[in-house]
Amino acid sequence: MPMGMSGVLACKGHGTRVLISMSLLMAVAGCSAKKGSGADGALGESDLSGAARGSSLEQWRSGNLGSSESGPLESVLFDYDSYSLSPEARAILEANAEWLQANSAARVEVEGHCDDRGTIEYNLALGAKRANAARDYLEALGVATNRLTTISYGKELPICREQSPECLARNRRDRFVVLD
Amino acid sequence: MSRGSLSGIEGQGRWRSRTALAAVAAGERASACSRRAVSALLACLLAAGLLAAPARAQLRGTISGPGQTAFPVGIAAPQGDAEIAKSFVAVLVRDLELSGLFSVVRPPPVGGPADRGIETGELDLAGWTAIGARWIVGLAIQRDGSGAVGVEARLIDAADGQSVGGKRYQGSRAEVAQMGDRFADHVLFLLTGERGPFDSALAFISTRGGRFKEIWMTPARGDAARPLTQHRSIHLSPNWAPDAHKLLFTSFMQGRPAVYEINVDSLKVRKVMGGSGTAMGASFSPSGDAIALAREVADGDSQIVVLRLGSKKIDIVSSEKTIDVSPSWSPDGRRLAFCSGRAGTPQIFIADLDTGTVRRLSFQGGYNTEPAWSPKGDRIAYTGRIGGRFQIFVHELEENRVQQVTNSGGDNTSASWSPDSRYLAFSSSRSGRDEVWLSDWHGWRQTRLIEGSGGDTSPAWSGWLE
Repeated sequence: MPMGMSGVLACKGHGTRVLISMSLLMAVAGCSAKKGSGADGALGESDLSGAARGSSLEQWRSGNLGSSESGPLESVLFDYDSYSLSPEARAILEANAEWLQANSAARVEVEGHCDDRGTIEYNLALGAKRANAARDYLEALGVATNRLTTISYGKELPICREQSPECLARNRRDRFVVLD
Repeated sequence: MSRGSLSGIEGQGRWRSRTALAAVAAGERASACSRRAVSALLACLLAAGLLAAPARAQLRGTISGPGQTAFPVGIAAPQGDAEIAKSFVAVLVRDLELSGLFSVVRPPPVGGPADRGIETGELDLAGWTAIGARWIVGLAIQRDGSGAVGVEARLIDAADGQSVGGKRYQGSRAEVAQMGDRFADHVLFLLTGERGPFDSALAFISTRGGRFKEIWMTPARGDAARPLTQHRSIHLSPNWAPDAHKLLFTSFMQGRPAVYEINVDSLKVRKVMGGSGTAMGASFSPSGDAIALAREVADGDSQIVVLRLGSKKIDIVSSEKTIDVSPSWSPDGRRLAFCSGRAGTPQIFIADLDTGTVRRLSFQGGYNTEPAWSPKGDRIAYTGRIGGRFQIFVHELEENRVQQVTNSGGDNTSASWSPDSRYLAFSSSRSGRDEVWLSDWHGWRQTRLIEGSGGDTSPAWSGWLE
């Protein structure tokens, strides 16, 4: 994802957030969140939120890795062999922190991922550094420590399989999973 | 792969005993012209680290003089049970050819050597010599009513028909392949003075069952893989225990990356270490009483620790605020090579466990990882990035010299030493798919090792089974 697109994606992310919040409210109100489209129309969105809650590992196990990458919280991207947060990444994390303030019961797991240009164990450690970098920033923005956990998937769960720079960049990500 | 019941006896049976062995190994037997040529060949091979140089020839495009050819070996028609002989010979030939030290001379369909038997005086030495064989393997198979199999195997000098050495193996039908591996190792011993690596196993990670990364195992010759796990998860970084009965591995099978152990006979799995943070890349000490691994600490850093299995004590080997991963033991168990980001890029370091001192080993390149200490202790293989690709390198410790082992397209990673320290198994994507390849440690001769259709990575070569 080119960095210049982050503004557009942030807007799209806001739209998703509204829908997610609606589906959460409906779930609380006792509505079924698992209806297809049709009579209920907008309820189709609940599928998306449900899938987005799944960890990347769960998605991969069921053959759906990357099918709903963003969820309510947008992923942040990293440079090659780096875990420092770019200005774009900080902006996204600030938006994510806002969502977390607005949804104060939500707990989030930060997944650190790498592209495949590197070795297995080093990338597993690098993913942990990436997940921690985002968690530390979210904490600095006021999100309570006990609402955030981290996990590294190293280079094991790429969402893009091509060797293009754009594709590799999409794999070097922190993904945020809202835990049930 | 069984151990224990299969017995090997140094041959002293009806064939002449191996009086020539020591002299041949020392390169001193020089009673005939052909012997001198053999000695020169051997001396050259010894000087080259006990490896023939057909690959050097490939590299330069020329073949000339001693040391530029592999040992030519013919296999005489075996005596006894043909079906058993066939499987023994298939294994022997595969091992000898994988070794790069031998060319197996195949007689033409008509007009080949006219052996009357495998005893001295019965072999057609002139016939074998005429088609280029310098040595002949003679085999006699016995099979009794209970199914027990006996294989007597000898290496014979084609120049004079003398036995260079031999072995008699006894076991079950299922152990015949392993007998072939053992004899291949013995042939390497007879002609180079050092035992070969094939009576051993390879563990590796494969997606051949689907997209899941399971642990597989094969005899080192790479042609009989079977799955050890069917967890439908991601397993990584297998590493053998010194007894070759257990493997350590890293896995997401319970959600978070943790270190487990599997018994390859019972397939029982137990968790070794893992909690809220990553634990990974575990390796048994050479004595088997400790495990080194990398575990995540505060801020996502990782440190090398040694878990003492007796006392359950955990020694912290590295406590820098950085990424430290992939520990590999020196054979004396007193040092660990590992990968660290402490210098700004991933590089290879060595920690002395007695003194606690750490020194940097790799200085070339900006991404050096996955150290693997050779069983002999004199070399460390590792993965380094050069020209945007990953290649295998070997650091010779005494000489403080680095050799690049691979230089192919694709990536070459995750090197693991053979038990004789001659060879490296490693992951390679040079063919466009992930396969396990074999090379002598110089990189002269490289060949695909594990049969399959791709999706194979992270080989771990066990020690000798016996």
